[in-house]
Amino acid sequence: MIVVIMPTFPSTVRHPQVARGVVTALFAVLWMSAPPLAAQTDFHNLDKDRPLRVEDAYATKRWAFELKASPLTLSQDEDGVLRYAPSLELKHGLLPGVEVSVGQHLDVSRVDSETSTGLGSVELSALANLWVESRTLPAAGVRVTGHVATESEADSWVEIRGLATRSLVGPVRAHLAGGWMRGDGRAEDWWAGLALDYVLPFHHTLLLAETWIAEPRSASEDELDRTVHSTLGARYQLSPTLAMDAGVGRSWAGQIRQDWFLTLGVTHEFAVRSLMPRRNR
Amino acid sequence: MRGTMDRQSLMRVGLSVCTALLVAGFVSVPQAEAQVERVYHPMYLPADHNWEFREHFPAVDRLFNAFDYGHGILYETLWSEPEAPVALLEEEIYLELTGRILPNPPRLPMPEASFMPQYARLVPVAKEMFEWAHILHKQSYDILADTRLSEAERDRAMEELLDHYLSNGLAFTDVPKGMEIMDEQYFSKAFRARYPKFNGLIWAYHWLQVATYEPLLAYEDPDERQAAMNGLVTRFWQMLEDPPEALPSEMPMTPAIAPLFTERYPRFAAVFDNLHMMHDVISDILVSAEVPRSDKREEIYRQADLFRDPGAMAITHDDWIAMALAHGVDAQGGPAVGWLPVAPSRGAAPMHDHEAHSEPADQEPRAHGEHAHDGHDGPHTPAEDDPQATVAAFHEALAQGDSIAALELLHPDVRIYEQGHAESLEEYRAGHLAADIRFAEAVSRHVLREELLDGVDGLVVYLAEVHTAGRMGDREIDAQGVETVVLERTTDGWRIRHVHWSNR
Repeated sequence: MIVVIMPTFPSTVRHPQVARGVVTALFAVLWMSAPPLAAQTDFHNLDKDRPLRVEDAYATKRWAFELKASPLTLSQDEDGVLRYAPSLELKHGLLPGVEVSVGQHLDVSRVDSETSTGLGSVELSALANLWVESRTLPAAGVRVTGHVATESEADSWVEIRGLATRSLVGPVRAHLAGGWMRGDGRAEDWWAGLALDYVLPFHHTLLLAETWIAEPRSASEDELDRTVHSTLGARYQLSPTLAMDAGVGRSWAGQIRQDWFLTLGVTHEFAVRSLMPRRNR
Repeated sequence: MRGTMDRQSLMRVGLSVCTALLVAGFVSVPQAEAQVERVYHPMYLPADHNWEFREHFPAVDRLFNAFDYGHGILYETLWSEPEAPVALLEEEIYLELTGRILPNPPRLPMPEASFMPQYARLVPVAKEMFEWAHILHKQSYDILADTRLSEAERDRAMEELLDHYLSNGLAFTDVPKGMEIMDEQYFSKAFRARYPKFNGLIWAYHWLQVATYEPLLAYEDPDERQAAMNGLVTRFWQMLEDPPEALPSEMPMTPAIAPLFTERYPRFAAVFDNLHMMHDVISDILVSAEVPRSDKREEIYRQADLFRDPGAMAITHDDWIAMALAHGVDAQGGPAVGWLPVAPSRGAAPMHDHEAHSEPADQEPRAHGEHAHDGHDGPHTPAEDDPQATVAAFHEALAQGDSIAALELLHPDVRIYEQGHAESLEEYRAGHLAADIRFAEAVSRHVLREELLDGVDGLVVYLAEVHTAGRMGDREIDAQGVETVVLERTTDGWRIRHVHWSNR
């Protein structure tokens, strides 16, 4: 028997029933994804925030589910604020080349020995791979994400993201990504980044590096306040069904900059047989 | 402020330059128009039997991961280094594969785009077809390796798996193709002519990939399965000992290498033969000077369409079986089971000298389970002084799918006349034996009249009129025929020196 103790959300949570529903659903999926439904995870995929902000242009496999958990995502801002933001995300290859996902993170901040806890916005996202890489074109994709605020004082926002992936020399690929945000809850107006990965296929490992630049919301034209951030990371295939990732990073410029950033995550891929089609004979 | 503006300007200029370089690097349009390609990765079928093969036969499973790499690096090299000397593949990469990769195969499957990026860019759909078919291979191994499944459950799981495989446009057709698709196109055989050793290595891969099915059907006992699988791996390594002589000289076809699997799951066998044929076809296209470099992508895609089209260059089931056997089982790497040397105590020569030490001598193919026999001195041994019993035992061995017992009753110098062909012992074993076994298993044989005549030099002649009835595939069999068998007394008893069959 499995007992899930639901967290009591702070009074500032605007839609506790929504937040509770999301957490319940994610735990339910976690329970459903026991070994009998095992499938295959691919360390070669570069997923959003696992561990880089830049992702590749490919959607998850058709009919596959991917459960992504990051129990450890820590950062410290320049002004000394320590943030702990564990997250959970569920992705599904709903259509050929199209994935949808839902995710949420916890937001724990500590300043001068005072700790505050909140729920991040619920992320509802869809990624469409427009085309795969060919001799003449990089792979391209577009992602739309709605961030639905759960805290009473927070607002929602939307991001539209463009993605491109290109094989370079030998085992190196490059990924270009950029996002444009709108909505009162956004912290940035836009961002753009470049990532490189280097695959070690026999070690089932992907080495990663990225740099991105972001324009904070309502930044003045006269100020050099764009955030420039770099991350180094790796993805590693633990077993046919499990991949883990790790990343460390820091910001080099900007009003909101992180002295350091650390994330660890794990991805489990599975499928639900009853949701898969059967061929008409 | 001025300093800030300078830095800002610098940053803008830097960003602009970087953007221009990135766009130029990301989008390269050399002569050809932009190629928009759409294909997606399908998820494979989740089930309790996932990873069973990996669990029980990790050594073979890991070899298959290495095989994927071998195929991939071949295409990547042929496409990205078209002017490379022959020695790059025939010596350098061959040695790397056989000396470093195969002895230390990767523990998990590798994403094929990770080691064949340029080829993957050239024909992403064709690359995805291979990945999807390789997943079918692995999932069918999983089902057959799962000893918890009953035969009915296993058959049902295989059917569901094939349905899932065929449910998208990446699937090879399950209708067999004629050999002309591989051997009679304008670019055919270019690869094997230029790279005979590497071609043999690829065929050795294909041999093990299809041979692996046979022990999973022939044996139920886990120890026997394990021993047989070890034997297959040993046999595979023997092929690499003296390249290219010991490597297959013909493309291994599933009906020849894995007749039990083909009989039970003919649609799978057809898919795998089509897959392996297309591997060769693409190698030929990439090598052939008859296909200009600018046309290779288009030609590969034309072939990919043919291999997915059930009507293109299709042949009947019977023609496919006959085609597979006509090339000779030995030339294709040899049978997966039933190739043991006869027991040393019997004093007979091994059927395959080069295979004499590659599998435990106590292994026996179960064939179809209920017909298992328990050793070379088993129930088929005829009375030493009864030539008619020898003939009866020969037919019984065929009906039970026991190729070893059947072959033991043939004289080393036997001549077999069948369907207008005259075959020696080796030719029969590599040729019609498998078909005769399938036929004998499918029909019942009734002797209408028989007689035994004394011959000269210790020979006797057995004459019989027989009636055979049953169903073979879609074909109803109801035939009468005659059989002439010449037997010779040897120190081991009566052995068949000559057979002549004729039906009407």
